[in-house]
Amino acid sequence: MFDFNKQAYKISELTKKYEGSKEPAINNISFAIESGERYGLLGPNGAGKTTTISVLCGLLKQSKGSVEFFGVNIEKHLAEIKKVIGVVPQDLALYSSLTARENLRFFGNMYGFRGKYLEKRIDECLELLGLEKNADRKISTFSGGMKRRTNLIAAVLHKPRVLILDEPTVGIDVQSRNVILEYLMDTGNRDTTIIYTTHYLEEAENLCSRIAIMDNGRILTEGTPGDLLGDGSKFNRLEDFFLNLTGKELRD
Amino acid sequence: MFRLLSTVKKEFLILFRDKAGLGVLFIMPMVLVLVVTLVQDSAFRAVKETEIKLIYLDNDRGTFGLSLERGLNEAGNFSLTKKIHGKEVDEKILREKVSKGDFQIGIIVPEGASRKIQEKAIEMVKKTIFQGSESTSKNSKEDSQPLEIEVYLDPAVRKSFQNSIISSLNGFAANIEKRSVLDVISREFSGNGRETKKEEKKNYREPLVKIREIYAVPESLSITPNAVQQNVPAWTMFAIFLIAIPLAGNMIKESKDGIFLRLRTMPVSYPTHILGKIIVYLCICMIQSVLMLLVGIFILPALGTEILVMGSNYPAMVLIALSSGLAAAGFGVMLGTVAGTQEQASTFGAISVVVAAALGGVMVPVFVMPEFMQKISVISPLSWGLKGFLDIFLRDGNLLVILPNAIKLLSFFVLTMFISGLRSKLV
Repeated sequence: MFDFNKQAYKISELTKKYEGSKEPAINNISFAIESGERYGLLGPNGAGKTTTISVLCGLLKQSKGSVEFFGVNIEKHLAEIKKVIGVVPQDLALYSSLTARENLRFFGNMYGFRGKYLEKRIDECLELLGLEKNADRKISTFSGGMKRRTNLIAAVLHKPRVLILDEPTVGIDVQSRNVILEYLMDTGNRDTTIIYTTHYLEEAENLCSRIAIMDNGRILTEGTPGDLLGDGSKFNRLEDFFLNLTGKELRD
Repeated sequence: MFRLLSTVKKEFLILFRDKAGLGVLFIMPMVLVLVVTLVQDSAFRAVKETEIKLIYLDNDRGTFGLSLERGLNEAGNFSLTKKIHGKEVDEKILREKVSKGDFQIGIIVPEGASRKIQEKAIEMVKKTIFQGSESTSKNSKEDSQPLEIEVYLDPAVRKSFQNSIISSLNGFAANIEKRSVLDVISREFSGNGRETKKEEKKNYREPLVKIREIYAVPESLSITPNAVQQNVPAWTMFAIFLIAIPLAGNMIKESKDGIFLRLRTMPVSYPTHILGKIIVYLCICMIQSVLMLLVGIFILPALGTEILVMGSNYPAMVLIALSSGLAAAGFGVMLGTVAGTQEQASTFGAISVVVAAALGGVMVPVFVMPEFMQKISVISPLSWGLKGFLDIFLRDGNLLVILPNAIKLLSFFVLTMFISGLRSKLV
């Protein structure tokens, strides 16, 4: 069904307006994400990042425009698309009274995996993210970093073709963040397309092969970190470039 | 199917790790049915079984006083006392004892009552047979007054109870009066021979109309309503609907934690996810029902109450319990999708279940409610379930009898699921 040689996502004139809202959350945006790319979506609060990724993973229906996923229309083939994407939500979407292994077993089952294959895959992921010794502890006893790492594993158990992450490193220690970023870098190098939103600009600069900066529902600029901060640019840091584009006033 | 089983397994794990939640689901309803049944048991007995304590003073010491005493003793529901501490009761003691509440009723038969009733009987017969004769003109005003028996009633005794006592006494008095009249008639026509007279007297004393009491259930199931028969099914229904609160809370927590959102990005359908929860909570309902019935069969009788009699229609019992469980689960799912927070769900859920329980006859049987409340009670799903259980327990109802209530409960489930679906924008 999917043509993995095509672009992972092709978004055309996408608009999403919530009921009762005067302004659209995303306003006529068009961009494409190549297969195997690590694509960063940056922007201040309310820029439209979460709305955009919600449309990309089928949680929200767009008001206008179209979204293609490896050559197929996302609305028509959502059930099939769900089998090959992984989503790491901003919330720690885990059952706190279950152990890490029980959580992962349940989410693995939801992707249709079971038995020895699933158990092996769970062990593999737990080891990669440094949780193998704590696999049988309840999530309620985990630190923030451990929860974030488990949250990530739940989305990659089925080896998705596209991994969508909504601020996956919020509020965790440097060590956990480092493990997560290393894992994503490694995964991205193995044909998995990554779509990443974050407020940590340095993180995006290091991880992403291409970055789009959004504000007020529009894409202000897009390019590789090299393009944005290259020889022709007057900014040395992505943060300065970002503030120049989006302004310094507070966003709540 | 595999995803559904996995969801069921996960829900069971979550539920069994919540020890406090399990306590609320299983222990609390059992405690509730125990306490309420034991409290109400004495009240039911007071009305249904306990003998009425009666203090009796016979100043007549003639046939009337003795006949009335015999009648009261034979009635079986009066405990008659004539002596206190071996001493004959007098009028003062009698009034004192009734006003203190030691006795619920006190009766004083006046002196010369037998003579007076005899005279009045003769007069009545003569008046009827020899209309216009001298004998009738002799009546003084005082003699025309009916014989008065003083009856003292404990004011704490309910009005309906007082009425039934007075009604019984009036019955006894009428019977004695009738017999006196018949005796006079017999004497007046004694010329027809002793045997004939005896025969006539016997015939006259036999009632023309006899009331035969028959319970509208098989003889093997001769159950009188008592606290156990009323409370066990009633609080079982309450316990079943109580699951709506943790179920709604579970759904809201999933939503707040982002789990529901995560599941929506996975290849699993909303109905599978919700069905998994419904199956688990339905199992809880079944376990609750069995535990509550066991309380009625083993624990309550051990504490001195009647034993719960369930009838023999087990398929009907299972159907009504399953339908009630589904209705409760549907309500929980609807609550979980409509309420914004766990606080809203627990407050609204608890209040709505208590209101539906009160309306449905869980706390007070529907038949003793005011008429307009009885009409409103039919909207409570708890009343449908309770009526189903009572039809089985008290009336030996079968599947066909309980089917209308089971259909109502299942329709309620479908309606709540439809509302939940609309609310989730997934229908």
